[in-house]
Amino acid sequence: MLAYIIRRILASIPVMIVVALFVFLLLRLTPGDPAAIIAGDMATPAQLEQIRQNLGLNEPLVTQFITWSGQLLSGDFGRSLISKTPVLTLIHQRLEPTLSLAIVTMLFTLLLSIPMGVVAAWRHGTLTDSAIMAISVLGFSIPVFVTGYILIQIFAIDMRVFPIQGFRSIFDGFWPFFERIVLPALTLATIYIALIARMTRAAMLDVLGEDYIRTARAKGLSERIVLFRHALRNAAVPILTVVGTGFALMISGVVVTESVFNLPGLGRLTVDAILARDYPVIQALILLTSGIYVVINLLIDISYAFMDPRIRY
Amino acid sequence: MADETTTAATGPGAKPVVRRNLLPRIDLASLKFAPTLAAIILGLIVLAAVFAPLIAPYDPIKMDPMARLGAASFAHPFGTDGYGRDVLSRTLYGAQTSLIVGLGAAFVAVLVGLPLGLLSGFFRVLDAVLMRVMDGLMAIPAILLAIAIVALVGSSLWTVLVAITIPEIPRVVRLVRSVVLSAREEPYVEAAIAVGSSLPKIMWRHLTPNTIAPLIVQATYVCASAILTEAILSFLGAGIGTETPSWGNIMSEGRLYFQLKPGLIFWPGLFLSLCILSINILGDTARDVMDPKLGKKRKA
Amino acid sequence: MTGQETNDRKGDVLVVENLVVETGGRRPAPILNGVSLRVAPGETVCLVGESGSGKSVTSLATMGLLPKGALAVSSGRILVEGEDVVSASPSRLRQLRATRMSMIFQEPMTALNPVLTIERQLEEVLSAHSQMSGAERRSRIRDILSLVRLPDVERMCRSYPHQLSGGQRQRVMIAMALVLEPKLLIADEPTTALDVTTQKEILKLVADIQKRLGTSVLFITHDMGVVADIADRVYVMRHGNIVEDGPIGDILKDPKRDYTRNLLTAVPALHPREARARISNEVVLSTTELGMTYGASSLFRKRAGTVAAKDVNLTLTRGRTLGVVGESGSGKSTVARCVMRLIDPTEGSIRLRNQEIAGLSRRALRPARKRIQMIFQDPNRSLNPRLTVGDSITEGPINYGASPDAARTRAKELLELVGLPADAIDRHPHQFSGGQRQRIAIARALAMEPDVLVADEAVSALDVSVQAQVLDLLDDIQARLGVALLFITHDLRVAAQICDDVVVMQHGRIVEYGPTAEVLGHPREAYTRELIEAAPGRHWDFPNFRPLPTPSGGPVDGATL
Repeated sequence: MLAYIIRRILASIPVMIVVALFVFLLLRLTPGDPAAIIAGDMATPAQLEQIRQNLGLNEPLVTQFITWSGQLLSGDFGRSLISKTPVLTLIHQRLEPTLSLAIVTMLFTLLLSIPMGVVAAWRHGTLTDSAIMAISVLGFSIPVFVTGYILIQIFAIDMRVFPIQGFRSIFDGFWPFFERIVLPALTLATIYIALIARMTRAAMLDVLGEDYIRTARAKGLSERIVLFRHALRNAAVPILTVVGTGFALMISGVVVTESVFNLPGLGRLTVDAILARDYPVIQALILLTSGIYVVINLLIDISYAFMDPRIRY
Repeated sequence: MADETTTAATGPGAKPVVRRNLLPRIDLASLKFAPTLAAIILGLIVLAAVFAPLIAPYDPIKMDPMARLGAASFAHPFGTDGYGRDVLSRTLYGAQTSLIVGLGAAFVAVLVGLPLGLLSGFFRVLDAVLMRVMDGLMAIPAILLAIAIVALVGSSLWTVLVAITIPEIPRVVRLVRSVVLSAREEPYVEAAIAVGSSLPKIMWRHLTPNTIAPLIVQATYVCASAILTEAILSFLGAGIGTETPSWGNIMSEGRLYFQLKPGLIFWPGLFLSLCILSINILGDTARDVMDPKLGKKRKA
Repeated sequence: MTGQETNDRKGDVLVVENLVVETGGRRPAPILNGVSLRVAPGETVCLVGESGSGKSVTSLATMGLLPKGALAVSSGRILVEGEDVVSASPSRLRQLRATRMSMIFQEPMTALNPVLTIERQLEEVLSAHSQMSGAERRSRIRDILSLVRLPDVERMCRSYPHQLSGGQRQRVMIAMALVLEPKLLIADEPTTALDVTTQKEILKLVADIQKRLGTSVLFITHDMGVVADIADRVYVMRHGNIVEDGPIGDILKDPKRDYTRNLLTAVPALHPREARARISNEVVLSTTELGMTYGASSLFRKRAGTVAAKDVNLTLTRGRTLGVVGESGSGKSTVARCVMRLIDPTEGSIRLRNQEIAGLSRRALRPARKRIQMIFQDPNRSLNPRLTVGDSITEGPINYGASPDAARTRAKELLELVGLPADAIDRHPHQFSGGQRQRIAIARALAMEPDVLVADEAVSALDVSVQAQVLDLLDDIQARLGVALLFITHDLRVAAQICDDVVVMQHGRIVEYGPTAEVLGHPREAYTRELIEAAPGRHWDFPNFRPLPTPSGGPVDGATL
């Protein structure tokens, strides 16, 4: 088991190196002067030269990459062009809303999507199945911002149940926090629910065709036990895999949701950075989110070992 | 070892396994309501895109300061936007952008992903390298990668297309690779090796046909995902400039007036949702029809 | 089907009356057309038939496990201890399972849940159907596991299925089925996926437990040998009908129906045929100290690696058949695949005629490939479903420069040679039965005009009657073309009937090697003897409808027929 975990951790290192390489090359291989891109449109020639020095743009690419990676590892992600604050400080300031949104979204998703998928698979071919799948396709197809505006229109403008926009920290009390986070989280959760419900259904259908499910039924076990103890546990690995890979989907969702609902999180930071062409910030955000993606998928890989004894031994 | 499933075709009650054909024939009677409707809607959107210059009542980029934020009327069925441009015309032209992006991304992703996947499935060393690169590429959220590319290179339709396609490629490569890896274990591939067929011949004749059905399904998902990504990019202001109307940038501009004029978001949003929904439904239908697992015979 | 049956019916554990099962959907097609059978207390009844006969459907219907939507009982009754299963409610049906009737399945590898421990899987049977306390359940589980003679019961309890061998898993299945001592055990081909020696142990175990608990057994099988060994009474099924039934002695000695007779005559005799006269001394294939070791080391630690084959020396001359027999994991298929160079041997040499091919590169190997061809086990998968029969057969010759027209003409001749119409050439594999597909695969191999044909379990996936035809075809082709045959099989009966010489393999090494009549008639090694003794029905001479003269004697005696 320990060997498995170590193997997984080692396997994720090259992925991070590849990510770093992509981000590095993106700036260097783009037509035009990287220093000019970094400095923005208003830079003076002296500033450009200063940036060239800092980035080591006159060095060979390999040297540049090693220096740059070294800076990243020591926690130096550069400074924002606009506010001149270190990028990490900016990110730190914006972390809480995004983290809150992600966690509440995840809760909504798991509470809804897995039962939906299980029931659809169990009732395969019936109206219930079709209805759940229709909802899922719908959730999968309607863009996040459209869902967002529809929810705002219904719950905030017409019914006035929730505020239209904004964010309050959970430390200011649960209800102020919850009434503002519920619509964004629902918005963001739709795609995720759709995705995981689909996968749960597909994985359950696969498992329900297995011989050991027939054995379980031949033992006279109740359908509830057959479904949850025997089928869902075996379907867990593919479902978890999608939870992990779907995280990439969630990132793009976060960016949009935060700008629709005006949440001061990392998504807004991203949008502001795009509009200002603040490349160091964009670069750091890519590295950060990719890093989180890799870590989440690593944790999921490790959790397989707890789900499936065949991996454990 | 008389596994009943393997020789079941000998009994009279057993149906022959017909489902292995390249493209199954389509039984008109079995056409379901949802896929039919999806095909019709998608057909209409394609027509709107192709004939936009003929049917659009106005020039989509002509501003009219006198008609800013006009309500829906006979002259402007969807109203006008913040610059007085006709929203219906912009929405029709927006279909062009979306379809170019969707079809382009699907086409390029398959064109690049298929050979890479085939090679990766066959050559171990190449596979090890290529898969690390693909893993890395998949770890970067598509939107952020696209944003970075657009931020660096500029926001033309073609840049956006490239920026959107690159993150889709790893999915195609992985799909083709997995099909190849399982198909190459099939005895008929070993039989082809035994009769001295060359590697290119085996790939082309015995492996590539297996990838076609899943690729068609995957291509529809790439298409839907690309249209969505383009809309998101444009919505965030990192996509195609407003001189080329796209559903995303119409909505992006509409955000300012959302509480005042929901139609600016509603109409392009409706077109966008219907378009993606139709493509996804057709993709699901294709998958259900082609999936050999669902056609798998029960033990009898 | 006499009056006596109706009289006995009251006491019968299982009575099936005019059972009709149809496929679901808009146009139902019958799968069972009125099957009737009965099983008395303590009796072992065999339901025997070829694939597609409906024997598994009968058993699943009895358990109420027919796949929903795909198959359904449309008329008839199934009485288990007098209670009708067909009309029982789902919850009543659940109560009956495991308490009155239980079932074990063919594939022990997939029939147990991989993520639950053995104890958990047994325990849930008890908690679903009894009010036992935790302590009672624990002791009951340990009792039943010892009853099925599993070693180290405590460790077994903690184990997951993948840690057990196939035979052990089937024992767990039996324990699970019998833990509540149901009156009826349905066994659907429970030993088909197991090696013969394991099969023998499992059959003995079932018989012992049956004696001890008084269970009735409905045993579904395609193997007449197993039937001869265990059955009290036999039902023969074909196309969803019972063709014939009766006590085992009557069925084996005096079958009334032609179908039953054919089924019995198709069973290859265990008694080896005499070696044919050598037609030539020309060695076409030989291996010297051939060895294959998998996965020698990984990045982190040096591992010993799995030895799949070691020190394999064999010689095959023109026109002869050399059998390689052994149980799963014996390395017999590894040898076949090495010789074909589908995998690269790690040591030793392979000589094809006079050419060394073990170390040749893919490119250098190409000319040699033509001279050695293979027939695979599963005819459903060895032909590309997207290619026509003609395309498959002509692929090889065209690779070696034949013109497409010439190759096609030759393909038609070959199809006729293997007993198929020439117009089969433009059809697709799915339009043929398993046996026909195997003929096509043979034609494809012959199209290369090879010196050596390697048949890897080439008849194992076929029904006995089809198997007999394909074996005859191979014999006939060999006589006509003088091709040498390397015949890999797990089935001693098949080996006895087709091979001139035979190699017995175990754990990757050759145990015994010699003329078939010697090796199978007068085995010198203990392992060979063990294999022969494990062969089901070895005391019965099926084609001649009589017992072998010395049923209790060893294989040496048994051979002097």
